[in-house]
Amino acid sequence: MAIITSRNFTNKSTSILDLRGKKVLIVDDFFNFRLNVRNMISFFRPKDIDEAATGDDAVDKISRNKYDIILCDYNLGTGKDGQQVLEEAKFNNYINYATIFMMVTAENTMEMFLGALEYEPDDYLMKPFTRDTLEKKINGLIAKKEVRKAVDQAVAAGEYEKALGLCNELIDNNSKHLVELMRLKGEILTKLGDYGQAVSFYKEVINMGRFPWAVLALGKVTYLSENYDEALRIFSDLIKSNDKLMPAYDWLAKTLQKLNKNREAQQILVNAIAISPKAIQRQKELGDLACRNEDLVMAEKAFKTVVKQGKNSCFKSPTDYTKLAKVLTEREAGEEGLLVLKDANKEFVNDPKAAVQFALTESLVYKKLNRVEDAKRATDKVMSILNSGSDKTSAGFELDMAKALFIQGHGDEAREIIRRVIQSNHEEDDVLENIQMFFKDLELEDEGHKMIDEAVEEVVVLNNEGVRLVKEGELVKAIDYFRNAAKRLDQNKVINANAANSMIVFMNKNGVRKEYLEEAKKYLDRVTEIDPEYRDLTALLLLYKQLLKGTSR
Amino acid sequence: MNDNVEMTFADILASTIHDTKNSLGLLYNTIEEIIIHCQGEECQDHRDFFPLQYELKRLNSGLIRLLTLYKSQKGQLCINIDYHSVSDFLEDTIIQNAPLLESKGIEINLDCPENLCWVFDSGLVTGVIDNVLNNAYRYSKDKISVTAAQEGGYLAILIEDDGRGYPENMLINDDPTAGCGRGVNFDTGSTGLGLYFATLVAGYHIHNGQKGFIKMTNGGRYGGGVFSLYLP
Repeated sequence: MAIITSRNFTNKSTSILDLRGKKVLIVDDFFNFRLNVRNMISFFRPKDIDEAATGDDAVDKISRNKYDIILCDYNLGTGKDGQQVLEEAKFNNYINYATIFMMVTAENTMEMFLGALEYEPDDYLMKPFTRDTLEKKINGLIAKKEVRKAVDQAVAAGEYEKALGLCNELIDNNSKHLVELMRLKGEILTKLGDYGQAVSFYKEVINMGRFPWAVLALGKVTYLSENYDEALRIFSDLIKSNDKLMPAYDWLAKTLQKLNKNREAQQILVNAIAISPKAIQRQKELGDLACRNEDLVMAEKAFKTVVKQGKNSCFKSPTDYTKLAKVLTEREAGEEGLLVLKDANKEFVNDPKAAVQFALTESLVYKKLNRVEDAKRATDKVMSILNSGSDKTSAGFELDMAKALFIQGHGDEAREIIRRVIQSNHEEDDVLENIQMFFKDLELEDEGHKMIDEAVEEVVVLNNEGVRLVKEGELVKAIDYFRNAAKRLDQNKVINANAANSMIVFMNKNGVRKEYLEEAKKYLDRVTEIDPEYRDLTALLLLYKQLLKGTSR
Repeated sequence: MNDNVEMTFADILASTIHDTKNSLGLLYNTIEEIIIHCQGEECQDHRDFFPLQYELKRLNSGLIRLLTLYKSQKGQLCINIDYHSVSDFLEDTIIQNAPLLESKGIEINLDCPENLCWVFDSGLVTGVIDNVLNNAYRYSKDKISVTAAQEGGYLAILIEDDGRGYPENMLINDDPTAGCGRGVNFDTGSTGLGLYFATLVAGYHIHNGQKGFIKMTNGGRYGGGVFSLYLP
C-alpha cells in the first residue's frame, strides 16, 4: 500500500536542520549575497562559516580546510567559474564523497547541467532561495549521503565487489534514491571492468527513460568494450538530441580516433570548443590531434589557448609549453617558441623535472635555428640538472640524458641508452610513445619506429621462449633461461616477474629450496621497485608467501 | 552569418536575464531579511512586503520562461530528464511558495505517495507549477491543494484552489484519449504565455509514444479551478 504524505505547509513541523560542528563555505562574487546566505546559514548554528569572493580564493580555502558544506555560485565574474572550482576540488581530492557541494545558479541553464555531467555538484540551488528551501535541500542531501555512505566507502577503498553487493541491496529497498543508486551501480560495474554486464545494465536503465547520463555511460562502456562502431552511433545520436552535452563530444572524438578518422575527430572537438570554450583538457586533446593531423595552424591555436587558460588551472602542465614551442618551431617561428619556454620557466620554478623538459625543448629549437652554440648550452643545462638530481636510475632520467647526448651529436651513445630503455620498458606504451616523439622531433621518425619495433620484438621473443619452457614443464631449463635474461634486462619487470615465477612454479611442484626462495625474492623486489602496480605482482607475492609459510611449518 | 547574429542575440538575452535575475534575487532576499527582522520585533508592518515578494517572484519566473521559450523557438532547448521522487520535488516547489501563500492566509496541502517516483525534467516542470501557484495566490480564497498520483501510465499533478474557477474560455482538456479536447486558446497577456509555456513543457515529455498534456477544469474538491499536468 502506498503511504500518502499529507502535509500541511502552513503549519510546518519538520525537524530543524542542525549544523552544529559543521564547517560551511559560501562562494559568491557579490558581497551582499554572501551576507544574505551567511545570515540564512547561521540560523542552523554551524561551527564556522567562511566566505570566498573568487574562484581562486575558493579553491585555496577548500585546499586548506575541510568543509562539510560548500555553497558555490556558478557565475563568479571574470576568473574561474563555480564548475571549475568543483573540478579542481574533486580532481585534487580536496573534497570527497562526504562533502556536500551545492551549485548556486541564477537561472536554470541546461548548458551548465549537461556540461557538468562528469564533475557534478550534489545539487543545484536556484536564486533566489529561502531559508526553508536551503534547509530542505541540505537535509535531503545529508540523508542521501547517509544512504550511500557504505557503498562510497567500499568504492573509495577499492573494494568494488563489496560495493556492488551493498549497492544491489540498497536498490532493492530504496525507491526514493533509485536513480542515484543505479548511477552508482553502473560506475562500480565499469570500475570492475565488467563491460558486458555494464552495457546490459545501462540498456535496462534507458528503458525507464532516455536519461542523458545513462546514454553517455552506455556509450562509454561500449567504447571500453572496443565496440567502436556502436559507440560511434550512440555518441552521435546523443549529441543530436542534446547538443550541449559536452562530454559526449569528447567521447565521440576518442571513438573516431579509434576508427582512424582523425580529421573528423578534430572537427568534433572544434565544434565542442565553439559551444564551451573553457575546457582546457579538450583544448589539449585538440592540440595533440591537430599535431597528428599535421594541422599546425590549428595546433598552434589550441596550445596557445591551453597555455593561456592553464595559468589559473590545476590542469596546467609543462608539456603544454613544450608542445607549443615545438609547434611554433615547425611553423618557422622558433624565436617565439623560445619566448614560450622562457615564460614556462617562470611558471614552473623549483621544478627540476619541468626544467629538464624545457631545456631539452630549447636545445631542439636552437638546433632547428642552426644556433649550435646555444643548443650545446641548453643540453649542458639538461645534463647538469639531471646529474644534480637524486633519481639516476629511472627510465625518465636515462631517456632525458640520451636525448641531450643525441642533440649534442653523440648519436651512437644515445642510441645505445635508448635501446636499453626500450628493452627495459617494452610493455610501457607511454615510454615507447615518448621515444617515438623524440625521434619525430629530430625528423628521424622511421628510424624511431624501426628501433622500437626491433628492440621490443627481441624482448618479446626472449620472454616467450622462457614462458614456453615453463609451460612445457622444463622448469630447470626455464629457471636458467630467465636467470640469464634477467641479468641482461635487470630493469624489465616482465622478465623479472617471470624469473620469479619459474622458481615459484618449480618449488610448488618439487618442494621448497632455500636458494630459489632467496633468488625469487630478489626478482620480486625488483618488480616491486620498478612498478608496484604491476598486474601479476600481487598474485606472485601471494604464492611466494604461501611457500614461505610451508617452510616454517 | 545569420546564425552568428542569432547566437549573439541569444547571448545578450541570456546575460541580460542573468544580470536582472541576480538583482531580483538580491532584492528578494533583502526583503526576506527585513521580514524576518520585523517578525522578531513583533512589528506587523512586514506584511506589506509580501506583495512585493510576490511581484518579484512573478518577474523572476517570467524571465525564466522568456529564456526557455526563446530557446525553444530557436530549437536550442534540450530537455534534461531524470528520475525524481515526486513528493520531494513537489515539496521543494511548494516550500518556495509557502511563505507568500501563508501571508495571505492561504493554506496549502500536498497529497502524494511517499514512494512515487517519475521521469521528467524538474527544471521545466518547476517553472510550470510555480506559475500555477502564483496564479492561485491571486485567485484562491484560503485553500490550495496539490495532489500527485499515477493515473493510467501518466503522472498526474493536480493543483486545486477554492477560488471562482477559470473563465469558460480558458478551460482546456488536452487529453488525447478524451476525444472532445479543446486546444489552448492563447489569450493575450501573461496568463496566455503561462499556458503556452505549460503546454510546451508538457509536450516536451514523451515516453513510449505518449505525450504529456494539461487540463484546466473547474470543480474539484474545493469547487474552484483545477489545473492538471499529465506526464507520461
